[in-house]
Amino acid sequence: MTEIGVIPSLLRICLILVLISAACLLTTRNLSSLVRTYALQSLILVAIAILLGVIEQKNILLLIAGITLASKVIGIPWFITVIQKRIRIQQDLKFSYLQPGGALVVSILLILLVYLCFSRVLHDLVTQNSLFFLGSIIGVSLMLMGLIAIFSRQLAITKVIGYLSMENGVLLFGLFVTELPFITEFVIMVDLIILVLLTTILTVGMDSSIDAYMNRLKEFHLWSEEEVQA
Amino acid sequence: MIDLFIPAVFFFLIASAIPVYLTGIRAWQCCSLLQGLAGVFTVLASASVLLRYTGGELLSTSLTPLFPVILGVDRLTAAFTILLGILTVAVCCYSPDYISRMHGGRSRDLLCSLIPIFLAAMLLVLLSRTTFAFLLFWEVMAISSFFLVLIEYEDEKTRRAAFFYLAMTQLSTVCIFLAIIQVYLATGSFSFPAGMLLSTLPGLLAFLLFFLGIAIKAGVIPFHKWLPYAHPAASSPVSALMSGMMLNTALYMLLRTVTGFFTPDLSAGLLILAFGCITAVLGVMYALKEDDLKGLLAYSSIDNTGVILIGTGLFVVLTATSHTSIGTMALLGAVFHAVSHGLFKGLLFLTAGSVNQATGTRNIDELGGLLVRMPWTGGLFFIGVLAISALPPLNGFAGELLIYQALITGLMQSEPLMQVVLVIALSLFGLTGALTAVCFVKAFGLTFLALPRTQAAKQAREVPTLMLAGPAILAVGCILVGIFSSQILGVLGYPGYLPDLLLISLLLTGALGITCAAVYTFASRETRISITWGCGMQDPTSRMEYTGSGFTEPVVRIFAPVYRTRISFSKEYHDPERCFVRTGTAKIELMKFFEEYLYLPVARLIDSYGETVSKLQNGKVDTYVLYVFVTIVVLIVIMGWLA
Amino acid sequence: MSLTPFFAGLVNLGFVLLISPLFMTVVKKVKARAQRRAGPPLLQGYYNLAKLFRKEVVYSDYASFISRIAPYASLAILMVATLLVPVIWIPDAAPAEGNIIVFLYLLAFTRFLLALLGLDAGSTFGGMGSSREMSLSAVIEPTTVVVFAVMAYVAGTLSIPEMFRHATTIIPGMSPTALLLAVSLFILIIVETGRVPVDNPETHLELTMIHEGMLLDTSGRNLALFELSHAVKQTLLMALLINMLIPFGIIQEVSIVGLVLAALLFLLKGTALSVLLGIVESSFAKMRFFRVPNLFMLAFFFSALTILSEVMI
Repeated sequence: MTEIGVIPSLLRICLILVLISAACLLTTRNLSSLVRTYALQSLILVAIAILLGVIEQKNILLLIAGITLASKVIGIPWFITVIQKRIRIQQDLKFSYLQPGGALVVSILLILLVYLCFSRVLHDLVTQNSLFFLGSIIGVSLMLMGLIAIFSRQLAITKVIGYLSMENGVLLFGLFVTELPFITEFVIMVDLIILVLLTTILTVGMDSSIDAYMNRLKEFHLWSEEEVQA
Repeated sequence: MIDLFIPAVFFFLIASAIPVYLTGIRAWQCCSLLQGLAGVFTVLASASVLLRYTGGELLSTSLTPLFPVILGVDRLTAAFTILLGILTVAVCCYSPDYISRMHGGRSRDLLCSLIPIFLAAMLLVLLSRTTFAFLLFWEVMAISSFFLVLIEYEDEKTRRAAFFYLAMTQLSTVCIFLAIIQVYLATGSFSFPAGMLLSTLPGLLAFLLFFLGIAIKAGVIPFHKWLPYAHPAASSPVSALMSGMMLNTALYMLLRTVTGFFTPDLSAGLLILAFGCITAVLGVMYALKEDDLKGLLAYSSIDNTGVILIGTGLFVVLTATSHTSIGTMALLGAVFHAVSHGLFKGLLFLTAGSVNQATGTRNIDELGGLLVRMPWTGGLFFIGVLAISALPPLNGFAGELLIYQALITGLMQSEPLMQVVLVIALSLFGLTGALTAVCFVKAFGLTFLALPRTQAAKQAREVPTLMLAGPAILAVGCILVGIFSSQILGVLGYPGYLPDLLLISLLLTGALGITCAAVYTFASRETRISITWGCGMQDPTSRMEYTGSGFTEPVVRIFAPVYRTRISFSKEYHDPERCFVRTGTAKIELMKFFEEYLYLPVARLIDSYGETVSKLQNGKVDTYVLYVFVTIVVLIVIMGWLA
Repeated sequence: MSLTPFFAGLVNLGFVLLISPLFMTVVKKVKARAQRRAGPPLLQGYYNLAKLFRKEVVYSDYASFISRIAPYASLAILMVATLLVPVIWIPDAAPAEGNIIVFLYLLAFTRFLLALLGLDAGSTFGGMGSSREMSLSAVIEPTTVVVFAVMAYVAGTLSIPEMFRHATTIIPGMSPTALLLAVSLFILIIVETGRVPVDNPETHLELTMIHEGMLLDTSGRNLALFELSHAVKQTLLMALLINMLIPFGIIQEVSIVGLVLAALLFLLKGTALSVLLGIVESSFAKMRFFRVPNLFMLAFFFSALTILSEVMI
C-alpha cells in the first residue's frame, strides 16, 4: 500500500465503520441498540461529510454535515425512542427469508458484486480517485443492506430504520459521486420526517393521537392506571 | 527393478487361483503370502522409479492390431503404485485371520481369491498407457469389486448396496467409454493424448465426460450416493482397499487428465474447485450425522476426495493464470494427500473391522470403553484419527499444509477476482478441516473411551497379532511419511515446499520429555485410582455418557439448513372423537436430500421411459416385420434425398 | 551452526512460561474490580500452580492412557508453538521452522486432546464440554483461517517471525486493515481462550461451561499443567495481536539491555491488553450457546471485510 495522507486514511476508516454499522443493523435483535446503531451510523456520516469538506474545501459539505447532525443523529433517534417508549416493544426476534448469518454472507457477496459492476462502469473514477470510488461502492452497498433489513425483519420500527439507513446510503453515494445541491438534501430530509410521522400514525391508528390510543387501551384493561399516567 | 511389476501381477493371479482349489486357513495364508510378496515387489519397483526420475515402457502387447495394450510407468503412476503395494502388504497380513473369523462357507474362499484379482486390476489400471488398456482394466476392477461387495449376499441390505454400486460404476464406465471414443475421433489413436484444448468442442466434451465418469467413481457429490452403501456393506479388508485405493485410482486418472491430456483452462479449474469445495464440506457434514462406524468412514472418504479435488482444481486454476510454481505446490498437495488418505483410511477401516469382529456391532452407540479392552487396536485407531484430523506432524497435515500454502500464496499474488474465489475456497477448506476433527473426536472418543455401553462391548477381546500387524504397518507409514515429508519431497526433486516437520516432531518429543522430567522431579508423584467426581453420581454407568447423535447435535443445529430433518408423527385413538390416545409414533429423520430429489426422480424417469419403450417389443412377429419394412422405406428415402 | 536460534528459543520459552499466569491473574483482578471486589493478589496464578503441583492425581479406574498423557502432551505442544512465535526477540534464524498454519494446527492439536480427555471422563459434563468446544471451534475456523491469510497477505509472507519483522518496518498506519485486523484478532482471543461472551472461564455450571467441563475430572499436577497450557495459549495469541500492530520495542539484535527493555515493554503492552480483555468481559453477558455462531458470523464478516478492503483500496 502506498503512503496516503492522514485525512484520506481517516476517510477510509470511516467508510469501513459505516459498513460495520450496517452489518450490526442487520443482526441486532434489541430495539434500543438498533436505534443507537442508526444514530452512530449517521454520526459517522457527519464525520465523513466534514472530512470531505476539509479535503475539497467546499463549505456546503460542512452545512450538510450540520443538518445531518441535527436531524439524523439527534432528532430522528429521539423521536423513535419516544414512540418506542409508548409502544413498549423491546425485541424484534423474527426474521423472514434471511437469518442474520445468511444476511451477513449475502451482504458480503453484494459488496463484491457492486465492486465488480462499478469497476466496469466507472473506469475513469477508479484510476482517478480510488477514494471516491470506494465511497460510491459503499454508498450503494449501504442502500442494498438497508433493503435487506427492510424485507428480512418483522417489526415496522425496524423497517423504518432500514429505510432510514437506505437514505444514508443515498446520501453517501451523493457525497462522493455527484454534486449534491442543498435542495436535494432538504427534500430528502423532509422525506424522512414524513416517513417517521407515517410510522407514528400506523402504530397509533389513523384517526387518533397517542393520548386517545392510550385511553382506548385503558378501556380494554390492557394497561394499568400508573402506566397510562407515565 | 522396474521389471518387478510383471512378476507382481503374475503373483496376484496365482494367489487368486489357490483358494479356488484348496480351502481352509492354510490356503488363505498361502494366498496372502503370495499377495504380500507381490506387494513388496510393487513397492520396490515404485520406489526405484520415484528415485530415478525416469520411467519407461514395460510391456507392449496388442490383443488385436486395433486395440493396443501398453503398460508403462512414470512418477505419477509410481506415487500411487507404492501406495498400492503398502496397502497390499497390510491387507494380506490382516485378511487370513479376519476371514477365518467370518461366517459363511465357500464364499470366504471366493473373497480370498477375488482380492488379488481386484489388486491386480488396480495395478494394471495405474500402469496402463493407452486409453483402451485403461478401460479394459477399469472394467475388470469394477466387476471384481462388485463381487467383493456382494460376498455377504444373504443380507438384503448388502444386495441392494451391491446393485446400486454396480449401476453407478457402469454409468461411470459408459461416460469414460464415450470420452475415449471422443479422444480417438479427435486424435486418431488410442495412446494418451497430450495438450488437447478445451476451447474446441471435442476437447470440451472429452473433458466433461472424463470428469463425470471419474466423479461418479470417486464419490463426488452429487454422484456419491453409492459410496455410503457399498463401503460399509463390504467386508473390512475390501472396504479398506476400496476407500484407500479405488478412489485413488479414479483420482489418479483425473490428475493424469489435467496434467497431460488437456492444457490447463481456467473455467475447467473453477469447475473442479467448485465441486471439490461442495464435496469436502457436505461429505464431512453427512459424516457427522452417521452412527455406523464404517458409514462415518465412508462419508469421510467423500470429504477427502473433495480435498484432493480442491488441490487439483487449484493446480489447474493457478497454472492457467501462469503462477506455475504455486500450481505445482497445489498439485503436490493433491498427490500427497491422495497417498496419505490411502494410508490412514486403510488403517481406520482395518481397525474398525477389528472392532466389528470383536464386538459384533458397528454402531457407535453400542460401543465404548474399548481402549482398555483392546489397547493395540485402539492405539492404532488413535494414530489413524490423528492423521485424518490433519494434526501435525502426521501425513494428513503435510498434505493439507501444502494446499493451505498454495491457497494463501495464490491469494497474495492473484488479481482481485481470483482473490475472492481463493478466499471462499480457503474458508470452506478451513471449515472441512475443523469439522473432520469434530467427526473423529466423536468416532474415537465414543467408541474407545469411557464405559462400554452394551454387554458386547464389555466382552470385547483383543484381536490376534497378525490382524494388528497389518494396520501397524499403515500406522508406521502414516507417522514416517508425515515426519519426513519435507525430506521426501526434497528427494523427489521439490525441496523447500514444506517446512521441516522432522524438526517439529523432534522438538515435540523433546518438549514432552522435558515436561515429564520436570514434573516428575519437582511435583508430587502420588497417584490414586479411585472414583472421580463424575457429576456427583455414586455409581457411574454408561447411561450418563454422551451418545453419538448428542455429541454432534450442536453442529447439526448450527448448520440446520444443510441437514434437512423431517418430523413426522402419527397417533391412534381409542374413541372416534379423538380424545384418548392409544399409541403414537414420532419420527425425526434426516431427509436424504440427494436420494429424494436427484436419484429417485431420475430412476423413475428411466423406469417410465423403459416401460414406454418396452411396448415396442410386444412379442408378435408381425410387428417386427413391420419395423423392418419401415426401416427399409426410410433408408430408401434417405438414399434418394440426402445422398 | 550458531547457537543464537537455540538461545533465542530458550529465552522466548522461558519468558512466556513465566509471564502467562500473570496475565491470567490481571484479567481476573480487573473483573473483580469491576464487581467492586478486591480480587486476587497479582501473584495468585503462581501460588495456584505451586499448590496444584503439590497435590496428588486421582484417576478413575476406567480412564485410559489419554487421561494420563494429555496434560503433558498439551503443554509440550504449546511449548513448541511458543518457539514459532517470537515475543521479545526476533533472531535471524528461527529456532523452529514453521509458518502460521503450523501454529494454527498445533493449537488445534491441544484442543483435540482436551476434547478427548473430556470424553474419557465418562461423565455427562465432560461430553457436553467436549461437544460444545469442538462445535464452536468448527464454526470459528473459517474466520481464523481468513484472518491469518490477511495477516500473511499484509506481510507478504507466511512465516510468523517474518510477519513481525515486516510489522516493525512499517509505521503502524491508520489503515482500515489494521483496525479490522485488531478487532478480528481480539475476537479470536476471546473465542480461543473461552472468555465471556463465549464462555465463562470462572464457573463450572452447566449453563456456562464449555472449556471447564472438559477439565472437571482432572486433579493435581494434571490440572496445573492444563492451567499453564491455557495461560500460555492466551499469551501466544496476545503476542500475535501485539506484535502485529504495536511492535515497537521488539529487538532484532541481542543485547542484555535490549532484552530487558523489550521484556518490560511486552509486559506493559500485555498487561494493557489483559486489562482491555477484563473490561470487555465485564461489559458483556455470556451469550446463549446457539447465539454464539451469530457472533462468529459477525467476526467472519469482519475478516472478509478486511480482505475486501485490501482488494478494493
